[in-house]
Amino acid sequence: MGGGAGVVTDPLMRAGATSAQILHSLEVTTMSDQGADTLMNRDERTIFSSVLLEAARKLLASDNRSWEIAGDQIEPLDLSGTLVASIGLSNADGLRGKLVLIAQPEFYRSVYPRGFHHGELSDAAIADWASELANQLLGRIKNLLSAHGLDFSLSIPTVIGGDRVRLLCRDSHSCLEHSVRIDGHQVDLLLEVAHSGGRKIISGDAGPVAAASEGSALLF
Amino acid sequence: MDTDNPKKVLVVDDSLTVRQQVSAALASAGFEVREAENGAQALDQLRSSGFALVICDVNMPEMDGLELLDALRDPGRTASPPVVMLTSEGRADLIDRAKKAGARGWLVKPIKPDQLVAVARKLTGVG
Repeated sequence: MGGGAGVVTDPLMRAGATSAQILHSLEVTTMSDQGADTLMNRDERTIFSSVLLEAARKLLASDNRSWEIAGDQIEPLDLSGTLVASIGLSNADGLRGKLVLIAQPEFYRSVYPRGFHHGELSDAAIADWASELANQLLGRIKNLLSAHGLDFSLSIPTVIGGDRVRLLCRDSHSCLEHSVRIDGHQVDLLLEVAHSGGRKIISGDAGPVAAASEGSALLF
Repeated sequence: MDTDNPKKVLVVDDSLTVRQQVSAALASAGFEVREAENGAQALDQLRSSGFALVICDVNMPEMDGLELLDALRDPGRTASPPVVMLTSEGRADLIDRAKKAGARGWLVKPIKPDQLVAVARKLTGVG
């Protein structure tokens, strides 16, 4: 499954010292074993960073939630009850990568659609919502990147929950990291993108890819 | 809507949250709603008659939404209800592909409940 990699469990967890719940096993190696990958250049990092933050703010901090960018580096996490949602991206031209969304369950609970649930949300419901958020966030990122002529497919999202989860990125040049606070909740975002075809990720040659915007309702 | 014979809608999405959201919106508008987690389950449910509309995600395991559209066009099948895609995808070529495969609409998430209900009413002929 695309979209895995870069997430390993703490050694204590592997030893069974905590009650980690691995919902899906992830591959660790994604990028550099495939030959000469083209990684993001400075201009592309600027574009991807801007798009990631814009899409995240519009999706996760809607309804007047406060938004603060805490940093552009994710510290090694040691949070209990962390939920990690990961979703891959790829295209036939050799573009590959993933989006990873990391937060505590309380954040996902706080942004759960209002009016559709009464009573306590189950862990499964929260995990499902985390995967749907990752899906929608990457969808928004995709729509924004279509203006730069970039197009890709989304994988099926994966969610992992654990008591002690550490996020590792195989190659920092292919990764963008942002840590934000939304209504006081820490939310970490990682976007990893590389191109195996030896070309620039955003070539500048391709025109915008037409895309319908969020909330569009088209009838044929 | 005729409350004795509500229009039946099938909601197809691998996300429990999305299924619950869409089902709740449609049920509150008087529709009878059934759910499926992927295209294969939807195909099974659609073997029974009586569905007035299908609202379907695109990216799903086992059988995605576009594959479901293709399967519903099988000449061996009886006529299927209208299918509307509900997805985070907005790419024009995907929309075009769905349209050619017989989809009647394309909704980009997140969609507002009243918009969803309006689309459902229009496609099921409910006033």
